[in-house]
Amino acid sequence: MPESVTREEVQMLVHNGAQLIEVLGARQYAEAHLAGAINIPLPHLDHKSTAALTHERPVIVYCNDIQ
Amino acid sequence: MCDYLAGKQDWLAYGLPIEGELTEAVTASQLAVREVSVCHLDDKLSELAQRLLPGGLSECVVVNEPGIVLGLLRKSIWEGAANGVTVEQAMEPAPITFRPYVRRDEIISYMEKKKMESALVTTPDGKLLGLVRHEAIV
Repeated sequence: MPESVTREEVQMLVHNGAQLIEVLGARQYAEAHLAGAINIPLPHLDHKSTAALTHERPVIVYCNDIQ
Repeated sequence: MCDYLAGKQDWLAYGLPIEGELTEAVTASQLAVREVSVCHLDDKLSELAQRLLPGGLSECVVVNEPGIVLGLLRKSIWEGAANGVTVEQAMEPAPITFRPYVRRDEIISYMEKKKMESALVTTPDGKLLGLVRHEAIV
């Protein structure tokens, strides 16, 4: 179960090197995404699609809002 | 792995760094006038009028101590207000607000549909960021 983090915690984690993944579709990602985020739509989020991530650094996933 | 549950809408609403097409768009955050007159629930309208009328202002935002929007007062209300009437008794409660990431065309369209001359821009928790005037953004 992923740990829930707040906006302030995201800022701190990103500042310290965390990696951001937006799990929305490509169109929504193109419109706007958190600075530095990569796009892996939720249906494609698996070991293969995340292989390029650095596993020593925290990973933060997000979608549009609470749902 | 961590989950930022509040998500992109929360991030956008606080004007934090983003990338993508929205960075090219003109949004409420850029359009909002930041210097807005504010008042509090227990202020007297007659005293408020003395403070506001010389500046030619057309609205005053009612906020609490942390700056959360509670209501709106329009010039027509405070002009000629009777002695003793408080802001709380006369304000328009819970006015319509825009989040800072809303695009200019969306704001104009909504304001024209609702025949609004001005609207507030706030964070998701209601903190006042500024005010947009229809005549200034069309």
